[in-house]
This record gives sequence, structure tokens and C-alpha cells, in this order.
Amino acid sequence: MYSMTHKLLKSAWPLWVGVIIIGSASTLQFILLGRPWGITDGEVNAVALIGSIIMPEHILSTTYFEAFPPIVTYLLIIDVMLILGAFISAVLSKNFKIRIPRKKERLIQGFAGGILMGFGARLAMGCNVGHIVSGIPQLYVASIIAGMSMIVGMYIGTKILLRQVRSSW
Amino acid sequence: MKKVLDTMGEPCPYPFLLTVNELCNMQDGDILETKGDCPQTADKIISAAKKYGIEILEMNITGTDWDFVLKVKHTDILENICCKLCFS
Repeated sequence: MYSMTHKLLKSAWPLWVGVIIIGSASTLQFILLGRPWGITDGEVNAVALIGSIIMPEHILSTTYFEAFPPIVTYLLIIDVMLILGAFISAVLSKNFKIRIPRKKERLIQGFAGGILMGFGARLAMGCNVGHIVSGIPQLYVASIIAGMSMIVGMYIGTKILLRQVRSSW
Repeated sequence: MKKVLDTMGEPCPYPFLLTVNELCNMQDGDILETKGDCPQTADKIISAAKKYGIEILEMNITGTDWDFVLKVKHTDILENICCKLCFS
């Protein structure tokens, strides 16, 4: 029994199990909601919600936010639940810990990487999930191009990361 | 020679890559102690040690924190990886 729960909660699941779960969740969303899954669209609604508290005139007068009004959409709920679900599984597997990297570069990296991700996801009209999980199954050409460009970006990012590992320690 | 690599607080994939980088740059028979708190890395080090043919002398996993003592051995498969990652 101990090893069973240990296997289920503590060890990493095989890749194919995760792939099947993500694929099924995405399929269910297409069937039940009739719309594809995405992460960053919901985040823009969150930005609009926060923005409408800080600077409501700007949000109301920006055309872009007409498409992403300051309301709670189903995608935003999915985003919040995603974080909550990941948190619960981290706690259950006793993997929850507040980690502060000793190297301050990691904080700058996180900040710069986050800005690039946010900008890229809006420029490409979707992120990993929107393009690869939802877009490519619909054979959306922009998603196929975005997916291929992500591979190029990851290749460059990995080269930088490996250089960092070689030199900084 | 014995070396300690402390990757506490470092996020994935740094702890694993830093460990491999050390293995690549140490001599056969050297001892590498690597520790950190990135949970995915503990699983990864165990499976990689098996795959690369590297002996784990000591292993201690408590909660998220892990500590491995490895005996460096430049097997063909490790050499191949070091070469691919340009670690040596």
C-alpha cells in the first residue's frame, strides 16, 4: 500500500499517461464547451480585470480590450483551477517548498523570460496550449508556424542555457 | 578528489545539467556529492546514473531535498553526452 501511494503521488508518472490526460481534457473541452483550450486568452481577461481597477479609462478606451473585456471567462477559471490543481498535487506529493535561488541571475532570467513569453503569446495569438494542444489538431496554419517557431526559440534558449551551465559554476 | 555541488534553490533543469557538467569535468574515481531541492531532478539522477553506468554510493531524499554521492566513471554513454553538450 505504501509503495502504491508512493508511486502514485511521489514519483513522476510516465510521459504517455500525462499526454493521454492532457489530450482527453482538451477533447472534452472541444465537446462540452465547443471551444478550444488556451491559457493566455484568460490571462488577458485577468489583466483587463486588474487594469479596470487601476486605470479604468485606459481599459475602456483600448480597442484590444473590447475582445478581452474585464470579466471572468471560462478560460480564466480554467487558468486559476490549473494553478490550484498543480498546487494540490505538489502538496500531496510533498514537493511544495518555497525555493529562493541563490543566484540572483535566476530572478532576472525569470523576469525577462516572463516578459518575452507574455509578449510572444500575444504576438502569436496564443501560447503552447493554444497553438500546440488546440490549434494544431484543427490544422490551423498559424499554429503550425507558431509551433515550428517555438522549436527554433527553444533551440536558441537551450544553447544559451548550456553556455551558462558551462561557464557560470 | 571529492567535490560538493550545492544546487539548493536552483530550478529545473539547472541541478541536473550542473551535475552532468561536473561529472564530465572530473576524473575517473573522483567522488561528486550533489545536492538540491528540485524534486524532478532526484528521479532524473537515479535513472541517469543507471543509464550512464555511474555508481550511486549514497542517496538521501527527505521531502523535496536530495543528496547523492556519485563515483565518477567516464563510460561511453556519459562521454557521448558530455560531447553532445560540449561539457568537456
